[in-house]
Amino acid sequence: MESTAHNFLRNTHKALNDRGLQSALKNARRGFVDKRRNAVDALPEFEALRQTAIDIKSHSLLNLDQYLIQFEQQVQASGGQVHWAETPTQATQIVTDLCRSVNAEKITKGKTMVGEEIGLNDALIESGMQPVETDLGEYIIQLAEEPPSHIIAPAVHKSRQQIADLFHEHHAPLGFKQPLEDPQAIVNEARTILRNEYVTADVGITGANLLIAETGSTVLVTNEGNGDLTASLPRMHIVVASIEKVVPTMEDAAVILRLLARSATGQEITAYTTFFTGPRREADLDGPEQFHVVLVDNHRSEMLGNQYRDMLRCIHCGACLNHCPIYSAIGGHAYGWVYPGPMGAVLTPLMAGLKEGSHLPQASTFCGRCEEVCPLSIPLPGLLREHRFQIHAQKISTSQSRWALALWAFVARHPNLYRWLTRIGIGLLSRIAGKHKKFRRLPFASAWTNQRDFPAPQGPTFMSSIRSANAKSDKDS
Amino acid sequence: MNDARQNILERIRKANQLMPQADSFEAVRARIARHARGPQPQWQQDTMTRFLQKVELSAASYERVKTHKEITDAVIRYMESHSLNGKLVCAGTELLSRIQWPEKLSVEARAATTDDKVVLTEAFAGIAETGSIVMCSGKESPVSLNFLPDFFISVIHLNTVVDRMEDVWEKLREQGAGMPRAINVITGPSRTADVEQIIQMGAHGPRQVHLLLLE
Repeated sequence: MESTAHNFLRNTHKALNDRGLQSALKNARRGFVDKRRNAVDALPEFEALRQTAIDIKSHSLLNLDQYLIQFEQQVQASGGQVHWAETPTQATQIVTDLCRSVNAEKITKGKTMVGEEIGLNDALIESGMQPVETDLGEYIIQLAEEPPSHIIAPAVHKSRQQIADLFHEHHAPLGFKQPLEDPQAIVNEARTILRNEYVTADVGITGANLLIAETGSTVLVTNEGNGDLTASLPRMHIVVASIEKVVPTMEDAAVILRLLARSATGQEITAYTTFFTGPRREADLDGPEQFHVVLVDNHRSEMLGNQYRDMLRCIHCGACLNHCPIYSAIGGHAYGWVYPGPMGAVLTPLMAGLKEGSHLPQASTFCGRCEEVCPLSIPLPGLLREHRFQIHAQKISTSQSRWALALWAFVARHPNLYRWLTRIGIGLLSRIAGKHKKFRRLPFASAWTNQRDFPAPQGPTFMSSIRSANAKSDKDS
Repeated sequence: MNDARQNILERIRKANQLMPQADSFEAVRARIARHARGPQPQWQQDTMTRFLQKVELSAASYERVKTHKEITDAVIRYMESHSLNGKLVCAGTELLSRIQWPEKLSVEARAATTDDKVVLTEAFAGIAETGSIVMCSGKESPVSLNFLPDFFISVIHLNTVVDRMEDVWEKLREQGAGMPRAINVITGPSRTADVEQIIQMGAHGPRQVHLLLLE
């Protein structure tokens, strides 16, 4: 997918002024946060599970080569094949070649974020094939020709009216002309249309929430059941998964599954959790004849060896998005690439380039809620800070901002100068503000004062208050 | 693409050399073979009470049956109450193929098509922790039955209801038949919240899940 992350500032402006988006975000925010809270509170073992999950992921990453090889052997033993891709281009090449090998025309797809990351739909279309998204959210944004705005709720930015209009535009030529007034009618229409797609598709592509080394299984978590229909009805099932998804055993998977749904949607478990192992068995009445797993690296093996290693623990639950004040204000599209929110602000600079994604790590208040709710306790603010450090060190930020920082650093290292300057500055500001005690306009601060008044400093600086308080208490004693 | 495999594995090994110590081949094998469980969620109720409570919370329904005849009656009653015509697709398990059906009902044991409205299957196990049922694919239990029809009825033997997912894995290993192509852990009907975060039932899979608890 083409990144517009470099346009973050403009994207943000647009998002903040988009009334429809703002009301959709407001609607989504409370739901996700409250449901997660309730689900976590209802499970006393949550904290223990979190610790165990961290151990499992750390152990799996430390032995990633062994577990990937074990996984590969088990997939082969069950009659499937594993393909390795270093880059998005290699990955899409493998998938399109596989599809061509069965003369595929139509391809159903379950929701796969790695598929978005490698630009799979575009590659399939360029190869003359027709990808059909089957997750309702993904289907909606495919019709709208938009990228997902949330990693688990891709169409969270759309209102029911927008969806109804979109369906009318695309489905009326197929004979679906009735207006869709409520969400149930929308869901029913999508169900009817996609039913036919499942049975006429040649290939089904899904992602994977986990890979299991012990058995060579891929795990798929959904609520709709679309992933299972996608995987089971066509002649070929292709799983696209990133390399860090592998865990040793089925028991390890059980630990992570208990955290995943609670953190994502506030459910104990989703309606469907499926473990796929190989193609259909000889006596089976249905299921694909071929089973392929495409393992995608795309910078992850590099992350394993650098400061961003902890990010590979991510299980893509989306909790950090749902709890982020920045995401809640601007939505997913403003981030400009596949992954939004705090996890996206860490991943985009690593996958699309630090220069391309350099605005994203800056857009954080470091409030720390993301790390707090992350079921794998990924130190997201720390990783964002690391990006800021790199942006400065590699001179990607503007020279003005580097000068300003250098100046500030110099002053901060000279406390007497610092106190003297703040005393003068504060006195000056408070005198200029006069009896209004606030500024309507302030040079270098228009981003603030365009929206609201800037309060003027009142009274002396903290240091001089302390000093006079100390002097007073000395006199009293 | 063998280059890709080699390059990725080499980068992983190089990265992990910086770490304290990777485990030996034997240690990794032993770690898998132990099948160590994580923290196990606890509850007060007995297994069956918990299972039924969670089944209800998942928006599935259930009734108890004791005999083959009662399975037949329950299925017919259910179909009539949902105005389903006299066609039933049925899994080919030993139990279900022994059931006598009245002549007015056409019963076929096969995979499902998009025309099928109602299906009868037999579950491999139940999970009390979450109120889930577990379906293992096989010639007697095609996967399409679990997802295509609108109404999904499943017989579950009460003695196959276990406490947690890990107990199912243990049971599968004891059977020694290896992994089926698909294990479906199913918890209630299909649903989506993709339209304004409002939960709607019957997204792509069954609109209703009805369990027949066989004593």
